[in-house]
Amino acid sequence: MDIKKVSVELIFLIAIFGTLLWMGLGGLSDYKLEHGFPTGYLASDNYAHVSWAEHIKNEGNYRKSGLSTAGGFPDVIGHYPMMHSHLSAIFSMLSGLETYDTMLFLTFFFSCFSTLIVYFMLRRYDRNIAILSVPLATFLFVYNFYFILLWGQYAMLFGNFFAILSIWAFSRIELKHSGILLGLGLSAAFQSHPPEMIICSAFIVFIMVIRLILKNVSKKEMIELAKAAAVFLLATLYYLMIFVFAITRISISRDKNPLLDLTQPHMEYLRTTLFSHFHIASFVIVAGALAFLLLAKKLKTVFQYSAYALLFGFCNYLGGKLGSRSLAQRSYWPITLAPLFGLGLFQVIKLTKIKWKKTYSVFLSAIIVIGIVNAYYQKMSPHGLVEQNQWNGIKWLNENTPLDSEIYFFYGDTYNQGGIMYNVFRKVTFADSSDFVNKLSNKIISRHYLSYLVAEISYKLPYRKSTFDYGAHMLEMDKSVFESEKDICSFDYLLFDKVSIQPVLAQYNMAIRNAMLSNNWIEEVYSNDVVSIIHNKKPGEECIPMEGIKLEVKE
Amino acid sequence: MDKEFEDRLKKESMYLLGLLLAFMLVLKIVFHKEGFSVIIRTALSFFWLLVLPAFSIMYYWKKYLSFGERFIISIPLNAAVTGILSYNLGLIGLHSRYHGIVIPVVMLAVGTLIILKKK
Repeated sequence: MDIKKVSVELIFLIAIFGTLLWMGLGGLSDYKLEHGFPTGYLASDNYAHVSWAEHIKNEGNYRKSGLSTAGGFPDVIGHYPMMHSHLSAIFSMLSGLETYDTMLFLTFFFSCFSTLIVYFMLRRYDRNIAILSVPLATFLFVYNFYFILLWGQYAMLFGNFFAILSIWAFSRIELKHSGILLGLGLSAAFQSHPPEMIICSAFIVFIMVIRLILKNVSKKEMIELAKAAAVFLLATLYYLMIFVFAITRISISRDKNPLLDLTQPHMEYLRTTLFSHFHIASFVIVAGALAFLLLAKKLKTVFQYSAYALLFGFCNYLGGKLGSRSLAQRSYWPITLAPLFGLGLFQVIKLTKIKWKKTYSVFLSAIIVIGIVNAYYQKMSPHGLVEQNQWNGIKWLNENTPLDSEIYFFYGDTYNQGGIMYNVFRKVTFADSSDFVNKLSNKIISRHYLSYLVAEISYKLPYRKSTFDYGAHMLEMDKSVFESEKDICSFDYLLFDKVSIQPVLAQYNMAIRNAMLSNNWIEEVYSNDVVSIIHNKKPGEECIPMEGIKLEVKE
Repeated sequence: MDKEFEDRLKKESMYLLGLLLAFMLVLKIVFHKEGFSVIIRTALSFFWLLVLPAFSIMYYWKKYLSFGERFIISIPLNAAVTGILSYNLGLIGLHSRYHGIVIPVVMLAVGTLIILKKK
């Protein structure tokens, strides 16, 4: 691409990229890069990812999980895929932005940027198809596709981004040392979210098997693939051990779902995306798929991958784990089906016999983008599950309490989204809302509340026994460690929300707080309009009578 | 340095500068409530961490890949290498606060060697 010769195309690409970033992140971030608290964070997962990045920033590495995600166990290994956390942490330190800002920025940036990688793969085949394919990416920020970004599936999005890099490298496998790029792409996809690497690798293996059968593989290409495998092994060696010996073993013991289960098609993934969510564009994609079938011999890797993504997206009907992963992959269809969209649109244009020019494609694409934005795009408002004052309370705990403090969170409207509390880098326990409401109904301030230990328990808190042997705290310990009636007098610091959507719950919080503050060894150490934090200097002492305190209710 | 190589290097440096300015402009439009200092800091950090190092390495394939394709691929490639190295450097004890300097410097050194060799 010579920049001077392609100014229209270049301006078009910059404008498209800007439009995508504006659609996805503009409204959500209130058109700002820097925020005082996590803005645009709408689910537990968003906050969980930030806590991993913040942990890496503070600790300098990801050998161990942070105390809050590890349920207070200091030996839990860093086992969650980490690429996005490392990148967000480093970018935060360089740019001066907070990790919650860099995490959001990088995720949206890379999601938008994927379309440019696909564009360059298509451009080698046909410039018009490349330009015409771009508008489909706008659906990334249209419901239900948008939910994957809003609800914090960042690891998966990074995995998809690196899978696209891998497909690009595979499409260039004839180049010397392209195997290194392929190996790096697959390694990054694996360490972002292993399923995306596995799905991408399955495609590469499938294509290579077909090419081997057709005797259409050169020795040079095989050498590059061998290089890719070697780079992959080298770059993932440490995490591969964790994945194989800890995560996979625990997944097998935990998850009884078979790979396939034809009796139960998988239909639930966040808010499921359907092919019909592309509205009228779905017809163009179907046209592209038909054209692909007719022109299959002439079409290159990027089209094959697009057809594969379409087919794979419907494997949810096969059920089981494959079905679940297949359904999740649909969220990335606005990027992966773009080649079929561009191909379909261009074939329709060709039928009109108009002498088509590249500038026409640019204008048509721009019109389609404007059409999609006008018809389907809904601007997001900038908000998060916690607001500034709540975040200030969390920050205060991190900055002012000893590392071995035990923290208790009373009722808060959004604390059922546990990822929020991962950002307190201490051992945290929180009150079960049903039990809390029951005790309020019984008009009693109790010393014991049903409580949960805050922890990221997907893989049961794995720890290393020896190089190849891993245990899992959650599988080895009594359930009561993680979920039981807890004595609120046994905690060092207790956080109360002063406001709630249901004011009576906040009033109950305040009644408990006031009862605890009546003891001279307990004092309020932090307060703002929304939260109050108290410090119990004698954990274990009777701060509430065993029989509880009867609430006096004014009629 | 021969003239053709020097011209090419100059030309590509100008293109990169142009793209950096375009990136700042896009950021300023999308995040129009943000001040210039934050925009500039973010754009420069991004180019330092996620563009320049891998772009210099992509010079190895200059015969086969256009400037545009090398630029586009350098971003995911840079992210891949930085993420992988950062994880492993952290494991061997180098604090992540140094990664934003060490990784780009090492990659740029490799890129410079490639550029000089391909001269």
